[in-house]
Amino acid sequence: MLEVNNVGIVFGGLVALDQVNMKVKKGEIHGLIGPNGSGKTTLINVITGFYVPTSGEVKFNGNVISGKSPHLISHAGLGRTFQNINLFPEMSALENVVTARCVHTNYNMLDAVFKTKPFKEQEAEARDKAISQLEFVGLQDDLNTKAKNLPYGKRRLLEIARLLATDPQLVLLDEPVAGMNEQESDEVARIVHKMRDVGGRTILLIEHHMKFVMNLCEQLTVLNSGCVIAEGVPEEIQNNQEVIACYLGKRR
Amino acid sequence: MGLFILQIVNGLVIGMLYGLAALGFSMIFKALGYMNFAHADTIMIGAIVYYLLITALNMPFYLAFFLALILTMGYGVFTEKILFVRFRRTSPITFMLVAMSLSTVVKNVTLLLFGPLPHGLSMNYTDAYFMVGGMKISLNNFVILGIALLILLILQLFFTKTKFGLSIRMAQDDPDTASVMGVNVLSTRAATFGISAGLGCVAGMLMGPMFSISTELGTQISLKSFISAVIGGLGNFVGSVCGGLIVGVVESLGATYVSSGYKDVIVYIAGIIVLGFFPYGIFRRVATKH
Amino acid sequence: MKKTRILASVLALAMASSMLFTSCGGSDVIKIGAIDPLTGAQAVFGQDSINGKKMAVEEINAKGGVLGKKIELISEDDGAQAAQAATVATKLITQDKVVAIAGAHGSSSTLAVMEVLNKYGVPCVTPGSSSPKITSSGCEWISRGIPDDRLQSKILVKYAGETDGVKKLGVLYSNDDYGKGGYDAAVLAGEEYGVEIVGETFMSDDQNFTTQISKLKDAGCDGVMFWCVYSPASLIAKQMRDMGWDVKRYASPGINNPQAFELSDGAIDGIINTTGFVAADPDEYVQDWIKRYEEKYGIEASQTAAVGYDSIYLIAQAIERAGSTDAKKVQQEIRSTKDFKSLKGMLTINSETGEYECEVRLTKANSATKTFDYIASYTA
Repeated sequence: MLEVNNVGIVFGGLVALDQVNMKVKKGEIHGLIGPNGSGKTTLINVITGFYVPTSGEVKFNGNVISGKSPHLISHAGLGRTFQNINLFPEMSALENVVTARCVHTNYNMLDAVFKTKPFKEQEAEARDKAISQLEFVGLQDDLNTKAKNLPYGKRRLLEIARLLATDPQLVLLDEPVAGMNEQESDEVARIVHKMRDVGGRTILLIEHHMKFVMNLCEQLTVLNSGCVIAEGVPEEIQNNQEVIACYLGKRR
Repeated sequence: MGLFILQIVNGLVIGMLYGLAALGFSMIFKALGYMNFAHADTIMIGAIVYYLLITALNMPFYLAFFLALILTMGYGVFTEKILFVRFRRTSPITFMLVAMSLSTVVKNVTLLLFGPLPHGLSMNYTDAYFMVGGMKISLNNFVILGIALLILLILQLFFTKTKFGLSIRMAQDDPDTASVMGVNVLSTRAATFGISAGLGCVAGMLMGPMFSISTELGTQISLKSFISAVIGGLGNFVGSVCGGLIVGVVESLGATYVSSGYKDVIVYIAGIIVLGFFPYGIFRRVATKH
Repeated sequence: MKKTRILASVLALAMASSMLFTSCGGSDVIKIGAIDPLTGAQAVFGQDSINGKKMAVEEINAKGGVLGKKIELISEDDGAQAAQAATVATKLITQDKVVAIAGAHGSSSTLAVMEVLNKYGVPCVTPGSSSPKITSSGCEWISRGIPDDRLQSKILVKYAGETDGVKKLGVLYSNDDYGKGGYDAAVLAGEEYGVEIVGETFMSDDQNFTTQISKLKDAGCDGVMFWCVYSPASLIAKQMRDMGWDVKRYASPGINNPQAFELSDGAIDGIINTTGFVAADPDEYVQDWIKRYEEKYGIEASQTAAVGYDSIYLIAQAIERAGSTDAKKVQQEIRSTKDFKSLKGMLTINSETGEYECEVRLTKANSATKTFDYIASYTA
């Protein structure tokens, strides 16, 4: 579904990514790992259109998406979350998700002011879809809580719900369980499975939480200093000498 | 007593116009985090285009109003597409310098084309008036207030009830998240500049006939509208309008009861005092991101 | 990036060469500097003034120039700012090496220029500044081509009190040397003629006078005098009319400009002002000048254009009489001008103070005919 072919990107004199190749199959739960500064977020930014690669290309469902602007890539069916959560603090959880759906409605201002039938129908549909997404992530009891009043773990879930409301085929999660405890990250793992099993989506995620990654992901790509140093299933990666060296080396 | 009422009315009218200009300025700040010091030019351009359409092309004023508005909004979009978009990843200081340079060029080109002489444009929407305590208060004032409020209402509906309005707000809040949600941030930027220019244009068209149409029009109110935006809370829309009203009334009452020669100084001092108590503006609390 | 560098070098070269050209100049011309507010709040006067001056220079050059040489007029803009006036005056004297200066227009600007004159010793005639301070400060290099404010203000107050029966005169004046001079003179005149004076001021580039007007109305004034240039005066008249306040109004010569009718939307109708130049003056010399001016520039002749024109002739004739361009000699001749045929009547300069001694005339604005109609005449 997603093909990263020989992607390279240079900032000024710094080579951030070099000859990166990665393939994510449809329905896969794929993890992208590597030490800090290895270029993971840079790669995600290239895939989602925030950076244009200086060499190579990115293909989604056979179409080239590298170089396109982020909102078009979003329309193509690729969604992502960010490391810092950016919800609307004063809006409720439900309103936050409905907002995301609203971008896909097509009533006009007159409809809205005079509350015509198409307006009401689309509003109701948006609301229903939003509620179902919130149920999906387990926030059905917090529909009307203001986003700023939700605890951190639930805010992360809300962000995922908001992303799902745009109905992406491929979901990119940037450190979804950062700062979470055991219980919360298990919950997220469960939801990721549900996204694939029930929702039919493909997931690519970046994480540092090793236990989470090894248990959840079916395929891993390891980056170090902008290059892919290993690719394979978790068992292979865990026993790969180079991977161990680059992590252990950093820790010393 | 009549004098007091008259001055309050005057203050509100001019304050509303400061507020419209301040709103345009605030909008760009909210969307981009930058201060657009070329904003005041839209006031001058709006007033001059309006004047030319009416006098040179003999257009009826309501037609000229809309045409001037569309042209000025086009100018706003044009400056974004040609100039400002290239500086979207630079520091606020760089942007300010670019905006100030643009402003200098635009003002001087206008000076070359239009000439330095001020021109009068008489716009009496109605001859009706009422008397309060020996002072004549023209209903024109209320027509101006009415037009301004109508524009604000339309803007409010646009932002809350349309998809594009919503997209603009999302992009103003967080352009990256918005683009990931499918919002075309470049379009919303252009729209933001267009609307901001439109607000400046309306302020200019309503203000020009009260005074005189010249290349100095924008400069005169630019500082006061900047203060209005700041004391109301930069980026807060209700704040900008209220800030404008406050500045207008303070200016008017200050001139009447303290000193008419130094009314500008009174406004600036009042602004400093307000900021002493509300460093981020009256309507804005410190922004927090979680 | 290469394109930018080339562009920058071309711009720099253009700037450098333009500076080179301005300081070039043969010694077979006589340079006279002109300082006018070509931009800014007083642009209206700057344009008229420089028109009058240029016309005079062209005429004189067509007749053979001065002392057998052509006059080169170097025009500078002071933007009606005192600091800028001083800067351009210095430039005219030190870089262009002008023989004399015709300028500035605003009193604040001229006072600033006078400090530069004192430093370098160059003669100057101000065609537009009426503040009494100019001739009372003892500067020996300045002379004035129009009546001063003391005289004009006095005449208006006297007229208001004696002829129109005004008891309380409100004076709206701009917060600069010109306006303040007029106000101070009005206060003195008010004492002399038994008219109470109430003053309200405004910043020179203000456009909203409703506050000041309301205050004067509230104070019970039965007459109002404006002491400012014509753009604010027109707006004041218009706003007074919008506020429904109809009383006798008087104005300084600043208002004597045909543009005032348009800018005030006709509201200046009936205002009585002092002036030296009267467009309806039956004198053939004046009428002929008006015709030539209007043919040349396509706009109506105003007092400002007339005094600008006169100032150049005044300087040119003084240089002829002096027989040289020596600064002291020229200044002496300027100061001893007697019975100079100006567009305002016979003009004499007081040799001690440089003050103007000539008629002051009163005219009344007439919106129907867009003219300033002559009423009466007073001598100093």
